[in-house]
Amino acid sequence: MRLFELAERGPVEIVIDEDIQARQEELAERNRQWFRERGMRAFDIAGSVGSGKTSLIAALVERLGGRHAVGVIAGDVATTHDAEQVTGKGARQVLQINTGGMCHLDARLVHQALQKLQSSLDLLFIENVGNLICPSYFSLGVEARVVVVSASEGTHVIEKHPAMFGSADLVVLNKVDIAQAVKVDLSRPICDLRATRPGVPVVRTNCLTGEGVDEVATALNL
Amino acid sequence: MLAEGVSVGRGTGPAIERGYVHELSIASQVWESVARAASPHRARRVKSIKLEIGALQMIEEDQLTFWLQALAEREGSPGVEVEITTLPQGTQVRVVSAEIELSDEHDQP
Repeated sequence: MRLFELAERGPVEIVIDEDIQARQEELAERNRQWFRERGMRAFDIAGSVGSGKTSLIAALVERLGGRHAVGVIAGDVATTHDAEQVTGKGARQVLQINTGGMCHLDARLVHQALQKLQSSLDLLFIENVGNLICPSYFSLGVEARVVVVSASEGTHVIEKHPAMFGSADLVVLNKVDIAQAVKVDLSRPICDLRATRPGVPVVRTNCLTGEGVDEVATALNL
Repeated sequence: MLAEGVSVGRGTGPAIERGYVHELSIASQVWESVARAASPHRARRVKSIKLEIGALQMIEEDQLTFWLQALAEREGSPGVEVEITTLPQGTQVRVVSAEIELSDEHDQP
């Protein structure tokens, strides 16, 4: 009888009218509030696999660990290699997020990690999953996004990824020492960046030798 | 000190172990939104979902539909129809509405 009644009534339409992006922003704002309440400055370090995100973080931690209580959240699909590379450089806490395959961090994942973070930290670097596309659509609620791009990624890498570079607050052009070897004229990607994100600061680095890392810290007012 | 890691995305069922893309993340949030809205109605299953997506989101609609249907099937709503309207501008992913079938409980006084 009930089945008959259901068939007669048919499905019911419910109006939802919810913007998922707005929900993302709410979650990001929750993280911002979390950082504000603890006086913690947080930065999203994004970029391709192999661009030098981990090397940059390790170099920054080495320089800043003496005068800041630094924490690192390393985001990866799998493994703890990046967290291990940063460990021992002077960070108070290094935390790994394994997304299990998801191609970016989002505010909710970061919020889960924050629950395990020491509240006494005053500086936090969050290494995003290596990817120049998906992370650009997901705000983490941090103070600034640093996008690391290496010379070996080719001449057109910035032009090809307008969303990511359009969301950058600082661009770190890494591995400048090998630009000539891989036949990349660095003036082209910088020109593309000026068109994509006018006014965004750019720092040239070789994170393995430390060249330019102090300038990154200065650009972030650290 | 390397602290305890936070692992996510594992053990959440066979349907979403085929690989991950950002459409899956969006699909998860859409499904959460639908499930939240349907909950007070004691829905037996979700039949269809209507979405509006801004073109600047650069979402692959087939991928989003695939993941949304996979999630819905896992949650007891196989064969859910997904209707996507692409808006030429904007970055919104708006869950407009859903069609649900009411559960037997809904008929009880």
